[in-house]
Amino acid sequence: MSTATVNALDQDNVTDYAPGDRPKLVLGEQNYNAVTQAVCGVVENPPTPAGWYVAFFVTLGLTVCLLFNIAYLIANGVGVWGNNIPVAWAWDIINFVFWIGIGHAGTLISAVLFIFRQPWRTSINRASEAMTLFAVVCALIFPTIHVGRIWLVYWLFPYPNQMQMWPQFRSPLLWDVFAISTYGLTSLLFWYLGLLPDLASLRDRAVGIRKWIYGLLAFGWRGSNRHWHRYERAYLLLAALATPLVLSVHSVVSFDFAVSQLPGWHTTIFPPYFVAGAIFGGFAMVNTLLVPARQFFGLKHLITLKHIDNMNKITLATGTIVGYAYMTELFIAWYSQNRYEQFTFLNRLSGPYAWAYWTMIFCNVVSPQIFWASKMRRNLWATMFVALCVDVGMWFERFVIIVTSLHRDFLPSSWTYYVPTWVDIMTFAGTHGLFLLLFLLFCRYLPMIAVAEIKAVLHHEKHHHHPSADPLAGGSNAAGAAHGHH
Amino acid sequence: MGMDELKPGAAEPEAMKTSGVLAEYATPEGLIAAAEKVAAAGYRKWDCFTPFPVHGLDDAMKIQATRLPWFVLACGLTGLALALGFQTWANGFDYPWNISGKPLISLPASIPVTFEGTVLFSAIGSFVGVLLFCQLPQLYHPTMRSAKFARATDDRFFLFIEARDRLFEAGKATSLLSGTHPESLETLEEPVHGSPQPGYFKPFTLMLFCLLSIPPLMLFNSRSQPSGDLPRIHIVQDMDKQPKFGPQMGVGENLFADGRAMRPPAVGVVARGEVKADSQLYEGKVDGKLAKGLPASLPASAALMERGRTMYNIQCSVCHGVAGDGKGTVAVRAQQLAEGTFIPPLAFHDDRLRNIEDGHLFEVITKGIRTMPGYGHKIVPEDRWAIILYVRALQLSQSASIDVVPADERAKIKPQ
Amino acid sequence: MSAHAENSGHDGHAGADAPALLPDDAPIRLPDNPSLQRGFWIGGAACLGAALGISLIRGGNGLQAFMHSYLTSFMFFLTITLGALGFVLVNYIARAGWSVVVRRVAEIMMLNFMVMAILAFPILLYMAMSDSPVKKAGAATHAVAESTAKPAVPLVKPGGLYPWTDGAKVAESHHLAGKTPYLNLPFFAIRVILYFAIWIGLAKLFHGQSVSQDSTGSRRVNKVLEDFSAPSIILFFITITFAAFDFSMSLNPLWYSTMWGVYHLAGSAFGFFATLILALMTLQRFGYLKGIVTTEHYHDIGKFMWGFTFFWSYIAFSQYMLIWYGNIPEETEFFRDRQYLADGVYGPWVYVGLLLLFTHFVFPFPGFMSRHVKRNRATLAFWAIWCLGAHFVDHFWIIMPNLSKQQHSLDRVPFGPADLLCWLGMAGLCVAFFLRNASRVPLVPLRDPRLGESLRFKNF
Repeated sequence: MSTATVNALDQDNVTDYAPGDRPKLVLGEQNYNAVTQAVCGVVENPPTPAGWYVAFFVTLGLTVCLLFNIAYLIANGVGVWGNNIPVAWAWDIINFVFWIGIGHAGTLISAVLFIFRQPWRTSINRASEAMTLFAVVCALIFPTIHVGRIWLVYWLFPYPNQMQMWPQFRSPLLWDVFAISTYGLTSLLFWYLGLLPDLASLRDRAVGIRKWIYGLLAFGWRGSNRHWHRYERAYLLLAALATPLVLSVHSVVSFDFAVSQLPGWHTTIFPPYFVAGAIFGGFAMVNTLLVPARQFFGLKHLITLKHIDNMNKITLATGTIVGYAYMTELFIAWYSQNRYEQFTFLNRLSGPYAWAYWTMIFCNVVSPQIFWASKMRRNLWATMFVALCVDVGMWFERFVIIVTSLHRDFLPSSWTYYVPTWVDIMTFAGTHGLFLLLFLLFCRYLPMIAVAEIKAVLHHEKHHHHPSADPLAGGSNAAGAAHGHH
Repeated sequence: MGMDELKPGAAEPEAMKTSGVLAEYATPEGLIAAAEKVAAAGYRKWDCFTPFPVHGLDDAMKIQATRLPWFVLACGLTGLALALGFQTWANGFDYPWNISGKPLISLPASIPVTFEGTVLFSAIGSFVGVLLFCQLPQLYHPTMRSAKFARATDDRFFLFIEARDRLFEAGKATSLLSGTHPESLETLEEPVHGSPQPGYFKPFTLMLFCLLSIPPLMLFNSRSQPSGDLPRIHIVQDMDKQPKFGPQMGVGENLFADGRAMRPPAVGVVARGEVKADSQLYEGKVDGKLAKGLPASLPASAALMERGRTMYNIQCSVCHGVAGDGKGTVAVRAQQLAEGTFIPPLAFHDDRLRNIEDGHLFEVITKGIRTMPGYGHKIVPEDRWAIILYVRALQLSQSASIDVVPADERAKIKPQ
Repeated sequence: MSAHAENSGHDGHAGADAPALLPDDAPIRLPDNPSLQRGFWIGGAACLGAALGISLIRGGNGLQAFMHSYLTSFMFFLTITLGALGFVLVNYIARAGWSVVVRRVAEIMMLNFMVMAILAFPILLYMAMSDSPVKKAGAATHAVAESTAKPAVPLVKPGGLYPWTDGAKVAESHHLAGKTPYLNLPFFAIRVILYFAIWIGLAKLFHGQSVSQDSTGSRRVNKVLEDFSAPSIILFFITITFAAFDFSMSLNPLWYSTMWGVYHLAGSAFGFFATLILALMTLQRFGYLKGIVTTEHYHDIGKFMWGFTFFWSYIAFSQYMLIWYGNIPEETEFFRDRQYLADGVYGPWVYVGLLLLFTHFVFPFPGFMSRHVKRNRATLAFWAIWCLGAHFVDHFWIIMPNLSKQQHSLDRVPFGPADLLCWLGMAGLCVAFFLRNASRVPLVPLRDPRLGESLRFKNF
């Protein structure tokens, strides 16, 4: 479809629909080949937009900067960062939690929305699962490099060794190792399983060396219904596994803090609070990536304004949950009459890092409130603004939790004001480069929308699927609802 | 993927056999209707091919529910058992390790890794299970010889009856399918001889897998053995190798013949300030026998007594009690906790200890006795004698008669 | 496709009214049976009275024991009613289609807030009787506090249910005294009234609008309720959190846990889905909703029940493990009371804790994981009853140890006829009110635009 047609669709895009009707999730031409063409076309047809090359080189530069900073760190030691006693964890762990949190939205879209039978997930799940994988890669960098003696990081894994020692399983830091590894691997498997049919589509449309590569990667998938049967069971099982997994991963990350005795860290609400925050930040990042991507790659008829609308609703909902957690923490801090706890929260609100706290409150609690207005939810500029605000705000949330709790704890003589070094900052910027670089490569070389799943949704929208004649369905205005099964 | 492209220069016509009949449909409904017919006709080796899973097709084809969920369950239970068992064994039995007082086998702390292990194994089981059950990767299939079949992953729906099916007869199958109004119908052929996949493929993959697993296994093996005499690989040198002589370092022949970097002191050499001539002061012994009385250099005085009281209260009263009655706070608490291994500290108020040599007390303070540790490194000899003076005073205080008390002090003592 | 175009609401109009899909003789109307209702009302009240009687006869702080049993059953039924409200709200927020046929039953269940509001009154009354606030602010010594504390009504122990109503105790403890701005009876009563006002208001709004749609089929109702559901959920979250803090966390006023609200939320959902299954099955047993609520719906409700089994376990485990790991005595006190009598000596409450673990997680989690179990009426009913039992054990384990502690008898688990009678009593009252409300409206939302989708619904 021409860009003009696609752009015109935004005006045509209906997000107001009567209760009882279900929104159209694919706009424009309603045939399977059009979908294949639209998505695979991005991968197959040169020329790549010039913007892609510009972005590629910028992100490549940032990635090189990341590698340089890591090398500098390894050569000189952790002292090049701003961490010190009492703020022993700072940007390293903030960034780790930030990136892992972003990954969770991908799994939510893929797995949890699948379990809840939401058909609108099909145009965004592939890109967001890919985003999860890239976010996990960026996240894993930090625990690896922050240990000091990076060449010994394999000690975290249980293997028979000459010291006859085993890792200390009672530590949440080790639970992290297992949780994140499981999460990375499961996300990869889930993503790859979803990719198989689309790789087959690419294979069947390609020639030469590309046919070979896609052919090998597709494992010979040919759409056999006997295979689809098992595939669907496996997909459901993986989704059902990924759902508690995503809860557990960020809960385990929150355990890193909550198992301590530090006021501001040791509080029982951390697990669901962190999970809600992760989904919140992740959805913001999905919007940050997909709003431009749908524009530049001509996919607005597949990633429609209704999708953006839904994602913004989830952003608002999870932001509210995060706000609820803030409120609970503040109330219980007062209620506990524990003066250390009370001080910690007063210090957050009015101490030296108050600027960070109020930035966080504005970005996380205040800015998403514009999404109460449906017009704002469908406004791409508002979406980008809030998405970027939340990206920043969620980083600051981890900053507030980690740094403000540490910099003033029980012993006033140890109090200090932490400042990051240029190595901290450049490393973090570099991970953004790596993340975007991988995402750009993904957009260029792999189908960024789940073609087979979209076709299934299209099929349901075109044809009501009744197992048998239904005597109860009558009337000309009967809700022509799509069930939205996968 | 047409395998013809793989065979270099296959020019000569080979003997071909029918591999099956392929029907193409434009809509899923058409395919479902056809599938119902084919299933009803009793065929077993046949399949449908769709770009997306079509609901209702499983029922039409009478496909039995897959056993994959059971496989995944088995994998998950394995993961659970392994994770929980390993943690319990490693931290509870093999190398028990007290971490901040947590029990050696702490179930609450074992749950997260157990959960992750279950999910990990289940997820791997799901993915590997799909591949196994579908026998993927399978890079060749007779349908790939049809040019039209490329649309199976795009927008067309196919039905293929294999020639291998026991009911298959070319004419019958074709007429059955043409009754379902397909968009197109073709009979597919494949070579009679020769495997469709290059023969080297399977052994090559197997060998590749074996070769690839050698480095990690070697690494695993090497890490589980002691490194022996090999020097460690030391990447970041920092200031680890300094040009100086450290203790116990062999320094080669350049310096002294016995390999040392310094000469040992001659026999009988004593450092300045280390001469301990006064054996009574420093050892509590005179002529090798335990001494009685304070050393000459430390006459008894009020100041010494006061010093003794201060040091006694600091160092000794925690166990022996401020009154020397063995009821210090540590002793009392230990009795409360009924710690079986605790031997109560002595009270000083019996005749044996009242009459024992002062040198003995000195030795006990210095070197310890039974379960009491030695305090020689903590208390200088002068202070030890002060403590002994004070202990004697305590002993006197608990064994004195009223006559010893000065007359003007007697009034202060209330009757018990 | 034309149906889409017609109703796509280009101009923002809600669209044409939804039709009635069910025939007039569909089994969706419960007849009014005043004698049956009266039976439940009287039976319920009688059970409660009997429980009170038994407790008073026992003597020696029997009233205190009764109040704890009463509070346990009160929380049990309150949380289920809250679960019903949450379910209705979430259905509107998510524009759910599968659940429309069961939503009306949930709406009727949530009207029970009115019963719970009346049942809350004895709690407030007892608190007023046991309240002995310190007249002088900042009383320094215990002696002063005793002399200035307003004497409580005889027979009622000061601070019998909520220790912070005992002025003497509050004056003694610097921490408790600091909480007085929040933990004082007038503010507590205002909060309770506020909670019930909000809950009853929301219940009536959502139920009332839904019932009005039965005759008009106006799609505007959906729009209004969908718009309202989002801020209502926020109110719901906040009120359930603070209600949990007030009713059950302040039983142990020196203890606190930020997870407490979420913990009760999880339990609410869990208990509600079990109750919904049993309510629907009972109605179907008597011939109502036959062919309308199908195995597909039961499967989905069963999935939710299972999901919340897991979610509750995750929340409960997180709370336990974090407090265990930190090992701070101020926090571990809660769990120690429920496990130990003294250092290293287990008390009988540990068995209740283990019972909770096994009934709320270990058995149900694998027990009805399989779709076949959820799709079979008999097995699903079994697990629903089981889950309700587990929900009771949960609140028993939360509330009753406080009684043991107050009576210095942690070596006894005070489970007795009073507990059962309180539960039966409240159950009777709730069922009576349910029957009354259910007989006044159709049992499904007749002209909800998504009814068709719900009727045709087929699961994975």
